[in-house]
Amino acid sequence: MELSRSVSKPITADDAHALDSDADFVIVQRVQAGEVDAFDHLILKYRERLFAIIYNLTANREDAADLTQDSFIKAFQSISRFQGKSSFFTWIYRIAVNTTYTYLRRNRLRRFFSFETIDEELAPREVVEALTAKGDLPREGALRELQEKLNEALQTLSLKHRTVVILFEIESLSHQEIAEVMQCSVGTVRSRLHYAKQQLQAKLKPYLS
Amino acid sequence: MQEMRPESSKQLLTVEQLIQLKQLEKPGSKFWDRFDHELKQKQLQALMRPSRWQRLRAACTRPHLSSLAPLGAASVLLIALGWIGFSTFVSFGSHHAYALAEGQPTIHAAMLTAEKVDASSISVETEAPLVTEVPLEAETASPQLADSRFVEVVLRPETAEGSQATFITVADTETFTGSADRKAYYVVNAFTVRPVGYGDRAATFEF
Repeated sequence: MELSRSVSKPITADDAHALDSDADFVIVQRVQAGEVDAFDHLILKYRERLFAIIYNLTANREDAADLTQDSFIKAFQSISRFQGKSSFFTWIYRIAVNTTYTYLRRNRLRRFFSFETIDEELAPREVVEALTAKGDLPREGALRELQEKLNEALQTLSLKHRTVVILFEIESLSHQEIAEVMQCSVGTVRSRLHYAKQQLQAKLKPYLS
Repeated sequence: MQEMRPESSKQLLTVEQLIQLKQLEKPGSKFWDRFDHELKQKQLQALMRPSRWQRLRAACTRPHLSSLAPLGAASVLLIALGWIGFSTFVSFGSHHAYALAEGQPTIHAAMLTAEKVDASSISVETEAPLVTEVPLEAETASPQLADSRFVEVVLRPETAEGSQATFITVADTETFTGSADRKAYYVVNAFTVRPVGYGDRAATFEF
């Protein structure tokens, strides 16, 4: 009876995360035991997410590629110290965020932006319609212009505010997960998110109908 | 995972919808091929590179370096001894009477002339005389002090810990720059070299 009840219970996002976390830890233990190739599974699983975070923080695709690789190398070198107290993904996200912060602070005066092109086919219909209905620009031009303004607006935010926005809105992490990655309280995450959105709203006002 | 996410509106664009456009900025498969290749190289280098501790140990155990170890230790000892000696010298100098003690209030400077130490030529507004010293005011200056060749400026700012005297000694009385606040007194019958807090080094010359 107990078993059937537990089986019929729907799997929540938290359960899925816990399962995911357990699966990661099994791989980590294999790497710790000397099976170095097992780390490739983790790279394959997290490379795009890590790249996206770093790319949105740096606004430079080449730097983002280098920093993502460096983050994986750092994680690989210190994986023997990972004890599974936190989930692997918050641990590696933290490494990525800290690596990026260090890089950005060192190169504060030497910043170049290089962006990926937006896959227009995947752009939400309502966004494209709203953009093309407003201006004289064709769909492609309107999206590109919006991308520029959006990136500009993001780069005006402080590093910590930018990180919170990226992790919440782009990476869909929960407040709790962001707090673990950024090593701060959930309240701090909420207030940073609120402030950052206010700033973005002001900067992107012409695009918000 | 989906806390506080507003429902998308068909009429109005929200800032969240705009930010989520960033999800579409994704590199292609060629990028990831190159990425994987470079990462593999870095990973191999990391595997082959010994750790910092291993590098340090290897460097120390090299035969030609280990023979130099006593020499290195001796150099470290010499540098340490030299540094201690130097810092003692410097600390004596820095506590010399000419310097104001740390944390004392700023004292506004006034140019004073003390030729042959005529007490009346030095005008400093003072409130109360220093108990053990002679206040430099025309009516209280003793005539015998007129021949003194040395002037000492005693600054006694009041601090939270109580008053602490700091001495500025001037060896030549022709012209000197004195610093004074309301609680400053000028003594003209003694030449004192007494760094604050170093009573054992004090030397007083009476005239």
